[in-house]
Order: sequence, then C-alpha cells, then structure tokens
Amino acid sequence: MVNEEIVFDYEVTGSAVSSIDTGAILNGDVDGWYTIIVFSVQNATAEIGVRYNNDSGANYGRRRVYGQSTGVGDSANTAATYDYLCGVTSGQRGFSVSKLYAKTGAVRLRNNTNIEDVSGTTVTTLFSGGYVWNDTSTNITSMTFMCSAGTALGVGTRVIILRPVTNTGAKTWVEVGSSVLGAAASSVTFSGLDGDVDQVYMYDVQFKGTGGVTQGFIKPNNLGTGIYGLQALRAVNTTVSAERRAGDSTGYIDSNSVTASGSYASFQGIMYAKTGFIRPWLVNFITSISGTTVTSAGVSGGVLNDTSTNITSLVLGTTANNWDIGTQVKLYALRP
Amino acid sequence: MKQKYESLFQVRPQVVLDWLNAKSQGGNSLNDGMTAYLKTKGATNPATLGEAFNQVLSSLGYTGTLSDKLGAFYKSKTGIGYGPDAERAFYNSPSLDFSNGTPDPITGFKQIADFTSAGSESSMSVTVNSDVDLEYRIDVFNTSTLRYLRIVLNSDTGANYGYQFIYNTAGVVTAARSAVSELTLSNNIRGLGSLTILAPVGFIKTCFDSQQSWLSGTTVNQCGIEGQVWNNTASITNMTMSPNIGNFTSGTRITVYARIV
Repeated sequence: MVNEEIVFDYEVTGSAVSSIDTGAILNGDVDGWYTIIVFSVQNATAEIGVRYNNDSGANYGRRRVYGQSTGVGDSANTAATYDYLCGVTSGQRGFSVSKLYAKTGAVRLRNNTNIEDVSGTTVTTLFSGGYVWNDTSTNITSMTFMCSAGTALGVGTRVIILRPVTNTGAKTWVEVGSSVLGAAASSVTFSGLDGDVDQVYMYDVQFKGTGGVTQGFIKPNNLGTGIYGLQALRAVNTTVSAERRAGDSTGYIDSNSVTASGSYASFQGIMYAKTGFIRPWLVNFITSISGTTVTSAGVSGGVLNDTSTNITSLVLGTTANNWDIGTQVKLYALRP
Repeated sequence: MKQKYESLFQVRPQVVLDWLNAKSQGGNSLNDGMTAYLKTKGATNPATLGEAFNQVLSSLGYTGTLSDKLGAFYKSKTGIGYGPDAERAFYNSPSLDFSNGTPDPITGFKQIADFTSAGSESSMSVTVNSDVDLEYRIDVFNTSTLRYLRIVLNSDTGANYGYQFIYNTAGVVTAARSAVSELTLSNNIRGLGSLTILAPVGFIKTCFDSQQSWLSGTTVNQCGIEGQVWNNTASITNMTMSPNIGNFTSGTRITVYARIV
C-alpha cells in the first residue's frame, strides 16, 4: 500500500544555522511528489528558500497572490537563486506548506501557501502561489533549505518532507479523530492528543448550517482571551478582499465569511503544534454553498499566541448557531 | 566507530523517542525504551542493547556480524546501501518495524491511482465509493500547453457543478464564480494542481484546489485557489478525468489518494 510518509524531518537545535541539507536521500524520478512543511523561527531578517541539488543559479521563478492587512496584490520573480518558502523579519515566524512535482522531463513546479512575519497574534502576510525550478533533466536527489542572509534558521526551525512510498512504518497521515454528527451541535472536540509528540495536525470539516448563520473556528485546548490572529484572502463572486485580525479570543477560519442556514461550507487546515513557539496554521475554506453557487472561497493563515501549553485537545466549531446532522469532522496527525 | 544503533540515538534522538512513545515503549532512557521494544519483538533476556538487536535481527534471517545485520536491515528499510545516506534516511524516518515487513495498521490515506500518460489516452477513471472513503486527494501535473483537466463524477455532465476562484494572471488578480458541468483544474495548463474532495454521506460534495500555470523558463504565468461543489448528495462511485479536448499529453501525471477505512 502506497501512502505519504516522512522521508526527512529535521529541527534546528543548539544554535541557529544558515542551511539544512537533506543529503542525497531523495529520488525525484522515483518519488514523483513531495509535500514540504516548513516552520521558520527567524534568527535574522532573511528569506527562507530551498535549492534542489543545491543549484544556486538564477533558475527559479514564482507568481503569487497575497493578502496583507486589507491589501491584495501580485508578487513575482523570474530570476531567483532559490525556491522561496517564506521570508520574515528577525525574531518572527513563518509557516509554509507546499506540493512539488519532482520528476525529470519537464520543469519542476511547486504550489505553496505560506504566512510570514508572524508575531504575537499578528499574521502580517499570507501568500498563495506557483513556483518553478527551470531544470528539466537533473534528478532531484537532495534539497538544501537555506536563507538569504546570516544564520536565519533559528533554533526550532523545522523541515518535514513527505513522499509517496509503500508503507515502511515511518510517520504518515493517521486519522486520529472522526465525527459525524448524529444531532445538531456547535462544536466537536478531539481529546487525548499530545501536540509535542504529534507536532503536525491536519483537519477538515464539511458542515451544513442550521438555525442561523455560522462561522467556523479552531481552538486548541479550548483556549481563549485575546490569543488568536488571522490573515485571510477571499473572493466573493468577482470581488477579492483581505483581512487581518489580532487579539481575538476565537481562532476564526475567516471572520467575514458566514454560512446561511441550510447551506453548506467546508474548511481544511494544517497546524504546527509543538510547544516552544507560537502555533501557526493554514486553512482553505469555502462558505455558503447552495446548489451550484459557491458564495465565497479563500485561504487564511492563523496563529495561536501560546508557546507553552501542550495541545491535548482541539475544538472545531461554529461561533454561532449549530452544525446540522451529518456534518463530518476529521483530524489527522503525522504518526508512525 | 560507534555502533550504528548508538549513533541512531545520537543523531535524531527525539525522532526515535517519539517513535518509541507511539509504541508505548518510551520513558526517560532511549536505551531502555528500545531494549523493551526489542523484547516485544523476540529478544530474550538481552544483557545489552546490542545483544537485543542481534537476537531480533538473527530471528529475521539477517546474518554476519551485528554491523552486517544492521546494515542489511537499514538497506531493507531505506533502499540505500549502508552508509551516511542510509543512516540519515533511517534516522529521519525510523522504520523500526521489526515484524519482518508487516506494516503496522494505518488509517490515513492510500494511493488508489497513479497515472502517467503516454499521450494516447483521452481519459482515465477511478472506481470508488465515497460513502465509505469520505475524502479524496488528487495531484495533477499537466504537460499540455492547451488543455486543462476536467473531472466528471458519476458520469454527470449536467450543469451541476459550481466554482469560486481567485486567480493572479500575469499580475492581475481576478475572481469569479459560475455553474458548470464539471470539476476542473482549469488553470493548470502546463501546470500543477492539487484538489481535495470532501464527500460526507448524504451531503453535497465540496472541493478545494490550488493550481498554477507555467509559461516558460522561470516564468509562472498564473496561480490560483478555488472552491468547487458537485450539487449531488449521492455517493461518488466513479471519477473520470480527462483533458477538456483531445488526449492527455505525454508525461501528464495524475495521482489519487483515498482515505483509508
């Protein structure tokens, strides 16, 4: 059985470094796809990127759309010397999740969503974009995660790479919680977790609103009181907008997107859960779906400004009214 | 030279400890935890951790010195002959399954289709049961310069699908929504896309995707995110993927995962 397993997992310990090299453990022609998860703890103001086979030529390009406070914009580059992951100010945090197609025969493309300059409950910028390594013939056997200046990869910086492989027993996505509502409810709680062991959680929800408008949220350990932040990018028909929130007592998925009674919505997120640092997450969402009309779609980056409380439970819920019978909520963790 | 099992602990101790904890064999000492785990795999009264490794690997048919056995065992788990690369792969993914190849039970996602086009196919299909699987993930690398990928569920080609997207095309950010007759990765022409389908029993089916379209060299022309819906509450029994016109082009790759039940 082929599933997606961790092939590389490295956390910077001891002192900050300028690069993290996987060594020649990869084989892009065999593996095909890689999922890359990066949590950056910035020890210097710099961009964080990855080089395939340590290619430092100007062979990388990108196009992205971003949300920064209420601003929406374009960001592109056609002569980068590394494949950008996130870039943040010294002392702040970044979080990046991407999918790379690594096989030779064509240029190598990667889709990435990331947040950067995360500090306290402020998520400064959210990016979603496409990236290219303009090399068609060199098999990817290694990746070097690096920074544009200094020793920016601070203690706690984490790099995780997953590949499709016949089950070897390495960590993979394991379903650790699943709930299908048998009665309308305002939340689902998954308990018995250990964020310091699992370290990464992925969750998805598809719900139907009942009895009034609803908005999705996530609350690790049901924590509250001014410790959540958010940067969202969304579209409603032809209008694109962005929003930043800080100091919330609820971990909103997107505070402006509501789902009317009787209509559907979904969201899917991934969170870095290890203590020692703020906990960031990225979420895709669609709301108020009725018939073939998808009223709103977007992506958001959130943060829990708590560095010390081990996550032992996750509450996924709605800020108002209820989710209907049949609502499906699932939680996955990276486990052996 | 350090014993290989000792360097395993020293290079990536937290990874090994995490793994042992997941096996309920953790504790304060990696040495004790690993020895306890090896006892569950057949080691009998080992005086040392090395002896415990030796006993278990011998019972699995590995021969030679302990170093030989560990080297062969690494290779069986990492596919790499023993050396720094094998050790690194092993440390970072401690495949310490000593049950001679029988994997531990996993409930997550499994690959149910992995299609690479030779350039002659007009479609590919996957038979599924979404009332059981509940969720699918589809990764697409599209080599066509003209065609995008369309996905039809249960052969339904009526106007029963809908989308809302945000695209950035050459620096211009736009959005739109519409009702259509298919799910699409519509801007992955010569590009990359990933689509998730959520399929709760009795609910309409909703989807998320992110995608990009490459132009040439180091220029990415377009990127976008999208939400989609199939306005049907029935179980998905078939997914048919095809270019919007003609055949796939050679090298196009489609990989489908389903939730494991």
